[in-house]
Amino acid sequence: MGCGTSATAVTHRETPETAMKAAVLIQRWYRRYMARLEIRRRYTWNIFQSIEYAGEQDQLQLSSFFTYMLDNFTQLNGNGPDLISQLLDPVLDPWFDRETCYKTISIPESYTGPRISFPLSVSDTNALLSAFKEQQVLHARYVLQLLFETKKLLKEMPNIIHLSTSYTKEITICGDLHGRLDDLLLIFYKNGLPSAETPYIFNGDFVDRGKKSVEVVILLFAYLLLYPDHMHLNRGNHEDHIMNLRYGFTKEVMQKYKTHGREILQLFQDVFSLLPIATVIDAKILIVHGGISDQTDLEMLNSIERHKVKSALRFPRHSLEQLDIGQSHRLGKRMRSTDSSHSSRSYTENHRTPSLSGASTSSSSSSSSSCSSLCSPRTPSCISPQTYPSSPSTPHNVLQVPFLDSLCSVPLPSPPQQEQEWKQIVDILWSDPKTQEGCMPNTFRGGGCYFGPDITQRLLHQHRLQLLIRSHECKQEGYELCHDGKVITIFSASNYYEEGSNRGAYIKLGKELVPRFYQYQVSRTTRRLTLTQRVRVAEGSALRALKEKLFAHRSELMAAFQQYDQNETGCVSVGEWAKVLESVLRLDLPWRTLRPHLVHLAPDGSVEYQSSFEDVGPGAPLPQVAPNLAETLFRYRTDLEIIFNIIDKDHSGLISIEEFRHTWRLFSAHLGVAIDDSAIDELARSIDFNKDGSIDFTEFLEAFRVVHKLDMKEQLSQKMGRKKYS
Amino acid sequence: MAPKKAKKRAAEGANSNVFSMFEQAQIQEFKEAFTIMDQNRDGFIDKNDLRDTFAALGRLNVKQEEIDDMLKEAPGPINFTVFLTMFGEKLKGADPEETILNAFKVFDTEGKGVLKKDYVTQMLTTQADRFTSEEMEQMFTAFPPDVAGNLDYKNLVHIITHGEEKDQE
Repeated sequence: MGCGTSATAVTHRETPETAMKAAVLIQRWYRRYMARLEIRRRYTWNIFQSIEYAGEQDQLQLSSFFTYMLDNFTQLNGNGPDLISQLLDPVLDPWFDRETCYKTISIPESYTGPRISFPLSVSDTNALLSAFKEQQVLHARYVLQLLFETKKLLKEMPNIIHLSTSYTKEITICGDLHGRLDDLLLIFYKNGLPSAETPYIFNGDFVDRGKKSVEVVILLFAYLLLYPDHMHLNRGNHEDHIMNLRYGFTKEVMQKYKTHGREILQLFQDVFSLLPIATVIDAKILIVHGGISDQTDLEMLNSIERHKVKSALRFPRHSLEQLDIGQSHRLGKRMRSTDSSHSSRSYTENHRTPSLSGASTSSSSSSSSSCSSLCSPRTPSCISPQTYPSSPSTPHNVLQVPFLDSLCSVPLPSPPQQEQEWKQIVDILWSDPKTQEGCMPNTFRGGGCYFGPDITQRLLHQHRLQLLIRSHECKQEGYELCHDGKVITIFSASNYYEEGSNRGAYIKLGKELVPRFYQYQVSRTTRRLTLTQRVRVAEGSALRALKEKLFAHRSELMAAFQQYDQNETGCVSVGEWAKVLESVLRLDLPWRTLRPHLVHLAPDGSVEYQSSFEDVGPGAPLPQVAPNLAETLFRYRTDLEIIFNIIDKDHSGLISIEEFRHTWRLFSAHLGVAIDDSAIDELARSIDFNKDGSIDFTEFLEAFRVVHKLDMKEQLSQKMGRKKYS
Repeated sequence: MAPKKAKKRAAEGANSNVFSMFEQAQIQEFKEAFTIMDQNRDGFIDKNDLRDTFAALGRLNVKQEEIDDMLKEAPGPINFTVFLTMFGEKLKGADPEETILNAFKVFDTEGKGVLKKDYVTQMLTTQADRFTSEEMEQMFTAFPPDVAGNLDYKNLVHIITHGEEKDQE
């Protein structure tokens, strides 16, 4: 590596022609390198997005499971309503005041966190800011009181907030934060704290995914209480208690607030459903979290009772029948109890729905609207149709409905008011813009629509607006314009997928209503990474996530490979390999381009398909389980964790064997996975390490966390962490 | 280089047979690259896709004429077939390390293994397929010259070729 000083100027003895040829070579070679880097960056992005949206689709499945559980789950302990009912089907309308006993909660002397008093003042918000910077946690009493006050305030607000720039300097609009406290603090640092001179709009998705969702949302609500005229919050699709179950907010709250967690979550549920859904500036700019559909009706949106839509994923029961949940896959009759007495949305006799067998095509009137809001989640092709096993504790009258024989020809009644209202809100919170014209169901996410430039144009024209600002999608530069500049996406969580993956941004808007963009990137590493390094880091992370997906679908994949490899050579062609992956995983990714990272080639150029599974493995020694049971556990690990956490009422980390068995049976029945009872019993017995009838599910689930064997350091440190867990 | 040139001429003259020039597996790979470049997923690479791709590569101020020229080279809107003809080669194959090193050595007549930063800039921005100043800046950010202004080109070539090789397995 010569890096010496060259004292003399280099004499050019090359001919001009040689020089030119050499230059061309270098230029082309270098540009090709940059182009390949760009392609890697793009497919890395694709991987992250596909997996993210596939996860959101799984969410639909989880919530329909909860509905199923609610219909079939008998209370095992028999004392009082359990968390499931409370979380999923609250009797209380959020409009009404819950009994919050925050007043009775006393703050111990030993509490060193921030203390606040109501009504809030600037010193309180400053105290919160410095406390959170110091990693302190706000006491449950203050949290409850804060939420209580926020709820009171939000009840007074309309669904659509109208703002004007005439009296203020400039309005700042921020997008998704997803629990990233660092990004919020950076915005406040760069742009100023919320105040009369610095009004803010936060466009939803404050929580989930990031580790500091509680702190983020406390700050936002605190400023809302402090400056109700200068601080505005729109609801996002993650301000939804069912999303929270899966994406981390519920868990974070439970971990930070062991005693009062449930109460806090209930209040959050109310508050989230009371958040306004849209903001309009100067009657010219519309700000919503997701987007619009061809059915979006701002007048209707303004008039509905928004708090009635608690969760986008708790769709009105009526819709459940029209939902094509893998209709071609389900043989069994999907029943819904017509006796929905514990549901706040009660239906009259007229809405008793018949059974729908797999073959029927229902003349679903709700999809007579040009763009149905809810579409079928992608069900893995291997899930075979099963009839639900009737366990002794399930009352039969819940599974049956009167019209057993009537099939396709029964016309379904027109969608009730509630369903239309629900759809309006779901569209606003979940839709994404697309370049193609028209409006199509958003199959990627499983909810909302894809809306084209014509839809945007029509809506803006109809309401004499000039711009739509939305969030909901992560963008490389933190923002993006589309639809000929009429739609702006603004995203404020930098490094969302991975360190260096993207910037965050916010918009400043003055009287002239010309948006100005400010970008930033929170970086934990002080060293500036080059583009190559950033791409490599992000790519590595994406590929690991992808490999885990492969691992979790191992038997399906192997079965499909073996169909092409009848002679059991262990190899298939690249084309066959790509076809199998696409059909099993259903992630629209460039498989051939990714091939070198995922699998080895044999000398003859064919793919050794088993090599994908070589460097991933379970996190701890697996209990003795049948292979397909193991895989199901890997795949639904997150869902199971959520379910177990719900069942574990006292947050001890333990659930009883009976609870485990019952839940597992229900879950696998719902999924249509054939697991026989003896396998479950064996599993339960084997993981009851203490033989005392209770299961430490954290340890159990640890076995089903996928690790990459090459990543020794991570394994070691995780194991150390586990040991510290009491 | 000769075989490649021959292929290119053949491809230019026979668009409809372009699929026969590549193996099925290669075509599938190009198809993926095409999809990645076709950001709005309409089946065509248009000006915006091209411009975006250039921008992503650091060439921010591509003149409209340049883009139009590229588009003019294509017989029509750039769909996958056309793409294959025009860009297929550019995405596949890498010049071996030796070739690139020799190209640099043309300018490093004393064989020191380094070149002056200013000289490199002059060499690459003033002739042939000129680099823009943004591209030069990008290169120097990724491969910074030392305090004396010397660019260690051997290192640069090594990292790019071997970094890529490792990723391509």
